Amino acid sequence: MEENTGIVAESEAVEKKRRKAKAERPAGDGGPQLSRGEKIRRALRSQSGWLFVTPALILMAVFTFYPIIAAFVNSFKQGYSGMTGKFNGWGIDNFVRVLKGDTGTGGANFVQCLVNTLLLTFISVPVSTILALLISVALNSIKRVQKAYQTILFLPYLTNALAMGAVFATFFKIIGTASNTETVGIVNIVLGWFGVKPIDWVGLTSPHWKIGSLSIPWAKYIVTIVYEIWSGLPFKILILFSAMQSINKQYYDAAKVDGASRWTVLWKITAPMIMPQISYLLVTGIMGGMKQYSAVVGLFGATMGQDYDMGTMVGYLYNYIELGQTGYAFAGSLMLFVIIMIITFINNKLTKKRTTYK
Amino acid sequence: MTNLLAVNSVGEGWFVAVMVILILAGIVGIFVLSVRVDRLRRGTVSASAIGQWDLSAGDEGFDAEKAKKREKAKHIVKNVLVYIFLTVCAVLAFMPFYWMLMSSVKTEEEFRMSVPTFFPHTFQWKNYWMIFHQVTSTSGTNATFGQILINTLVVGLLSTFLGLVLIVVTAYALARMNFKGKNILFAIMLATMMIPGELFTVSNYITVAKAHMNNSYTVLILPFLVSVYYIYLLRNNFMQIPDSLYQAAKVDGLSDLGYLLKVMLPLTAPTLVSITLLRFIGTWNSYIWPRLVNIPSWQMITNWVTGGFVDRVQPDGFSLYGATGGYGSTPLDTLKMAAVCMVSLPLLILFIFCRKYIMRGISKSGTKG
Repeated sequence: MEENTGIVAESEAVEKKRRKAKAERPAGDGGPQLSRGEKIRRALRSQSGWLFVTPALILMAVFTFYPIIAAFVNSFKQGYSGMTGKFNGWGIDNFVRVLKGDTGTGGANFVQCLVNTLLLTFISVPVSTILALLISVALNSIKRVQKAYQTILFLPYLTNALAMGAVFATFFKIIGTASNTETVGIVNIVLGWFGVKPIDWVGLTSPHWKIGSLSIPWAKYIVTIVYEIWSGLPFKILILFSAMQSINKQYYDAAKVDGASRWTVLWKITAPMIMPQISYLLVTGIMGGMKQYSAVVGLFGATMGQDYDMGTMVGYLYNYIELGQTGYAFAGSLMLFVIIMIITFINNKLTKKRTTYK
Repeated sequence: MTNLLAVNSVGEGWFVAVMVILILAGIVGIFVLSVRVDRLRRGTVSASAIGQWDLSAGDEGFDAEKAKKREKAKHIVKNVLVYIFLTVCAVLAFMPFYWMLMSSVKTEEEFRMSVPTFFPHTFQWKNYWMIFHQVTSTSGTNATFGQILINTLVVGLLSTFLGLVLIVVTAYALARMNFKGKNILFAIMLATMMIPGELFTVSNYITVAKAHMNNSYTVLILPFLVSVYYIYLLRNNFMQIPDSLYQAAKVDGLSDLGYLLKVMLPLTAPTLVSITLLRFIGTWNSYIWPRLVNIPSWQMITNWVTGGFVDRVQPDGFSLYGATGGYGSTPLDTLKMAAVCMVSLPLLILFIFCRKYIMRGISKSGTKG
């Protein structure tokens, strides 16, 4: 978001210049003697731009503007059914029930989904960013076969989250017995070399911790985080690597003259120079993480684990849409919106501080 | 049983041997390379060398020579470590693709062996033949691969083409025309980008259901035709075209439409290509919306791949694992991997050939499709 506003401000400056140029242009057209009909025709023609934006506006009115209003209004309707439009009274009943997990439908639990989403996001985003940083530094420091490494590391860039999730699930899956042979999955075999007992990573007996009514299925967390790091790395490497490549070589030459070590160069030159990119990656990563859904479905199926124990906030909405409980879905979507707004707000504050510090 | 065990040990042998050879070859290759790089660099110390430092000033005297040698050894060790790190990362990055490809042609028995084989012993290409004839059956509707592929292509092409027309027209108006309230309108459009798309889904679901649009292509295309981000991208591109070009075109007697088609569109072609590709990829990867609003026979390819694939008696009486009476009961992972390949490979090929355009689009938006 922060980046967008930057570009908007820039384009506004261009606009202003353009307007000024227009004002300075001699008013040759639009002479003084015009009939009334001609005047109206000209006025209409000058507004013909509206004609061009109308199709987009109509579609946006139906599928963008109306849903925003509807989400705010309908989430306060108690027992709201989207299809019939019936509801019994206004109030915050939906929110209370969603937060309490008292929806009476056997669907996902909001607090569980919220905890899952937050934990997964705030573990996987920093880890993958640090890993991307390490890989980019390594990639930047080699001269030979750099292109080949680059190509292979970028390959997971464009993948179908659900399809590759299924592949990752096979790595961790204990398939059971076939022809009298126990199958424990590749990851368990590799861990077995280090003396780790087989763990049911994605199955029904997957280990978890209980905290009150919450369950923390840590094994499934690890699977999800590994998958998210794998699928998120290429984009991060791409951004960081191209940022490193565009650093002015003179800084490095100066450091060399001063006899700086590799490590000093990394922390005193490279890291500060790519700080904007790192913060951009953290922000987009957290934003994307809050909206994660398809990775979990790819790994654990449409039911998001067992009793929705791997549910995410977006998964919560879809779950309640499918259950026909639109009131709860609206309330959930509004809370997701508020959480994302809070993160945006915090991010804006932090970035402002950083820029003034510079 | 004994037969299987024998195969097992062979499989393990393969796995270990290939890994060991790969690692050894990697280390030797890296060592040779780094020595060669070093020798090259000794002659000319290039100013652009970033990672490698040659601290010695010159070779005067025996001690300096020795120190230089020690420095060089250190440098080689460091380089080898860097290459090993990168090789491990590259292998891990590539591993899922390899495993997906290999699993898709294995037999289910081989796939489920306690020690998996690194390379298939028997190539069962019939897996692919099988998934093409797989029928996902829910509430009396059938979704075959052919049907699903047609759905995806029709929706992808239509939504890409119509969306592109809409984006170009809107971006043109916002960039080149002047009308009252233009800036406010544009600001409002941009503001909607801040709101997560999931907020719209609930209402849109109700809207299309009330309009009886379920189970159609329209419902998959219409809600996503307008993309504010692409309009914004193209508008900025349009605004970079200098006004003098417009005046020149006017002098040459080109109409506004002619100017748009013959000057503006060719000049912004890279952006248009990026938008086209990303829209198509977005359609290819769409999952939740089709699942919500359409029955399986109207869904898209990603929905198809999430279904369970089982052994089945084919029309000609053939079945892979002796299923009788229609369907086998257990989902087969090898068939699923074949389906995953069918979905992933087009994307991979597209990425290899159109890397520049796709990366351009994504690195600007930070999102895929």
